[in-house]
Amino acid sequence: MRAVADPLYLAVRYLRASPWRSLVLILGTTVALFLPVFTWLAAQTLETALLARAEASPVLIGAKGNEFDLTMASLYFRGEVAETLPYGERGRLAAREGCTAVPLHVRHRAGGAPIVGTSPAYYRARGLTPAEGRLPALLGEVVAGAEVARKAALSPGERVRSDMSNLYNLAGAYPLLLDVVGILEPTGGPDDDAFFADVKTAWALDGLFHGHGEVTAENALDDPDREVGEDDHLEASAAIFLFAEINDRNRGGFHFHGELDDATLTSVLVLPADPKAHDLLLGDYALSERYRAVRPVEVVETILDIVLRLKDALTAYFALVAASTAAFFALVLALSLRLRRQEIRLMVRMGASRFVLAAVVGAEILLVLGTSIVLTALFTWGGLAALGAVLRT
Amino acid sequence: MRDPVIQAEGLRFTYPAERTGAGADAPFRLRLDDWTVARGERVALFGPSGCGKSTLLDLVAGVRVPEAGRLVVEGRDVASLGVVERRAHRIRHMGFVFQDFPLVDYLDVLDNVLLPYRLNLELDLDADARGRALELLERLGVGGKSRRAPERLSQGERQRVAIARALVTRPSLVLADEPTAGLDPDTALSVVELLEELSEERGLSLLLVTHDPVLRARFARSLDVAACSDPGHDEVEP
Repeated sequence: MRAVADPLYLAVRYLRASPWRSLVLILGTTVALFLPVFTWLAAQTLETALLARAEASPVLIGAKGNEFDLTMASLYFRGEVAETLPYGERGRLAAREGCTAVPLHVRHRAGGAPIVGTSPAYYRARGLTPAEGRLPALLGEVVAGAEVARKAALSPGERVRSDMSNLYNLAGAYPLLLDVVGILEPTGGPDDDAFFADVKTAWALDGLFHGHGEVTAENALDDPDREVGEDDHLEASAAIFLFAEINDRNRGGFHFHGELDDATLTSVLVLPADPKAHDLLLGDYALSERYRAVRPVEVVETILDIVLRLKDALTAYFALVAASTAAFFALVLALSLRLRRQEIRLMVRMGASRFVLAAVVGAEILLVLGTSIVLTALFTWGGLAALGAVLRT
Repeated sequence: MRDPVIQAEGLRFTYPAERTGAGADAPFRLRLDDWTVARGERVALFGPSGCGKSTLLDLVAGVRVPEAGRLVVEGRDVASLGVVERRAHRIRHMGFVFQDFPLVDYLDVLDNVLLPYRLNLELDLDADARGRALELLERLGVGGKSRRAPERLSQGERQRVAIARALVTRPSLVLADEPTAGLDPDTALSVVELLEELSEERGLSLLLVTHDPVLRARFARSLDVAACSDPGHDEVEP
């Protein structure tokens, strides 16, 4: 015990006696350790997070356009797609043998968090279960991801208002108050930072699925005082009262003008049951003029390829930084030992063996390295937590 | 004569020319044909720089080994002992006071006194050792400064602390290598008086290297080391 404790005691005293020298050594070593370790782990984290999500999303069907935008919007709920596809396409996909087709509508937000319009199949595909409350079943209900609920201190029974999509579009849909009926278990992925609703709720936010006051003579713009007969035609005007919330009283009055199949989606997530269904799907859509099938894994691998090349370059650079820091460390140590020659001579005369002298110097090195490793671990942990937050937002 | 602590017979030690001081073109040689120090005896070693005073202390301490002859210290022939045994022998029987580097600057006074215990697992750093260290500091007039950094002590106080450290392991022989160099005459005298008192009190043998003829005159015995070595060299490099 004393073989460790005594050298450690002397080493601590020595390092404390020269705090600035010790600090420079510790910080220099910490930086040299942190940069390559963090870069490697961050790249691994990024790779794991992006690939895991992409691998769990075999095929996306979307309108022809930027496959990167389609993947980012559909998998990570970031950005929007320029072109949409009709809901009817989901029906055709669902009718295919061995394919589960999950509609995705990613256009609206509440408190900055995306509101994803989808179907119950999405929760099953992603393994999402409520930690509190239940999953949305009715129009106007949403379930909150774990992180978004934590940030907004939401719990089931509370209400959230969707964000105004376009302040200057007078013909646009107004924000709606939505019922939070559940909070999802955390997943550590993008699902934690989003609200989920039935796709009809998303269309309600589009203004396509809507509810309004009764169209009566009082609500008609042309002449509110006109006598109205039973056969007279009344046209609703902008003066008609549009519901700003969906509740139990007005839920039944929400309706859709036109064909449901024409309502728009961002994409359809398709989960083929087997490789054959997968390949047939890709083959069919390769011939489509309007829509395309995207394999998110390929898109993510393209992104990761750039990240990994950057990582390799940075690793080489940080290896040089680490080598120069090691040289600096060795130089400081050598100079320090030279300055302490008399002290070492004194210790030898007092009976210190080579082992004890090595233990004293070794304890100093270990203390500096140990502190640097602890700091590196703390900084890396903090950095990865920050990276996780960045990846989620 | 009381029982001998040191006995040297036909002692020979040589440094090759390249390891001696600058400008040396011949090896340095130390010869000591018949020399004895009795228990409790105090001997001053003197001579010009480079004559081998520190080398003789190193030989007695077992830091260096004679190439010929016998050097018996506390009943053990130094040349017959291995490195580990010489070290253990040194720890058990000897205390050191140095001129050039009396104290370790990053340890406080008490830790400096207890340093031999920190460096040697053979010595128990127990309450007795601590008590003895504090008692010695008290005895040497620096009892109230046990937690003070060496840089906050006067030179005389530092040497007193170094003496306390030399005595804390209860040695029978103290080797003092110019402990008064750099001190003003009054302080130097008080340090030597203190060493004499402690030697008297505890029956310690004392080998003290000094250039000061006044201090040397206080010793009943002295050894002109220059007479035992080849002259003309600067200080021998360790």
